[in-house]
Amino acid sequence: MNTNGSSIIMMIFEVIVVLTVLFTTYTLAENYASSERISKIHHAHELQAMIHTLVALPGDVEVEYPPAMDKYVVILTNTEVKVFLPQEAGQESLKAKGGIFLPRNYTAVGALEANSKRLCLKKTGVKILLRACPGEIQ
Amino acid sequence: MRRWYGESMVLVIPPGKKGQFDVARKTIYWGIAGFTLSIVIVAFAFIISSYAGRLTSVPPELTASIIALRFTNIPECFAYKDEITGRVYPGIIDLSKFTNEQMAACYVTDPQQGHRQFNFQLELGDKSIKTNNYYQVSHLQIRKNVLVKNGNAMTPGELLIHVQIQLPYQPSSA
Repeated sequence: MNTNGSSIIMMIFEVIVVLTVLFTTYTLAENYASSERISKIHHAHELQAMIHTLVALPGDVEVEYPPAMDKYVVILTNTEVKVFLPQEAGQESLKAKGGIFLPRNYTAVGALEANSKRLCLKKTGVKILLRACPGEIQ
Repeated sequence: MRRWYGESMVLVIPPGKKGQFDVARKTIYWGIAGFTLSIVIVAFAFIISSYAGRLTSVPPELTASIIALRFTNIPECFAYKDEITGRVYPGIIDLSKFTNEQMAACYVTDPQQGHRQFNFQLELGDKSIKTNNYYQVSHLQIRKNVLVKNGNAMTPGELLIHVQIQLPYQPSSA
């Protein structure tokens, strides 16, 4: 057996393993603890709380969500609110979600596209609508 | 290959076999290293995930309080509504609405997975009602001073809200 050849193969193998470990560790850290991921989860939780508060208000009301949301897509349904980046549209696991519990007959619907800076929530009767604030310049 | 050299036995690696010996030795090394590295990566992922969870956690008392606002504030739950004027009186409980059927219209969780969500039991005087996945596990209580409308009578009372925050599994019976 060629000693020099086997040593080179082993060295290449070692380098590949080290690079793989570094890449895996970095990817894990990036995915789990990036500020973007944390921000998305915060937005989802805050919107969830705002929607539950709107449900508890008798009468009609419209409120603006203060933080700028131009980087995110937001989707509201009867059961949850989702916040994600436009490039994450097809990746369900990367979306931040907040569960919504509506009284019977209530409906919640709406979406905010990326590049819409201001997000508004409007409650009219038993309908809650999520949308870009009126007057928003796209 | 074994050869005798005087009194002791030594392992002699013939010329040209050193490469095979190195490969075998490193295979064992990388087997152990791979196993250890896998454990380290899994542990690292777990630690990072826990850290992110701690960063984004919301106090359950806050969420429970926000959800519980509806019980006393909207007519779809238990708030009194004057049918003639249409005016809703937040903070006034209509005792005729204080039933499990009304609770099911006010707040309901998924029949299968709802035990992982917030569930409530409401006590007002001697009456008690609960949500569909409440299993008598009261993690915290919220007290609210309310007025109770019973027919034409209006009396002050205290609404006690038991909150079941989250159960990891569904108990066999309620």
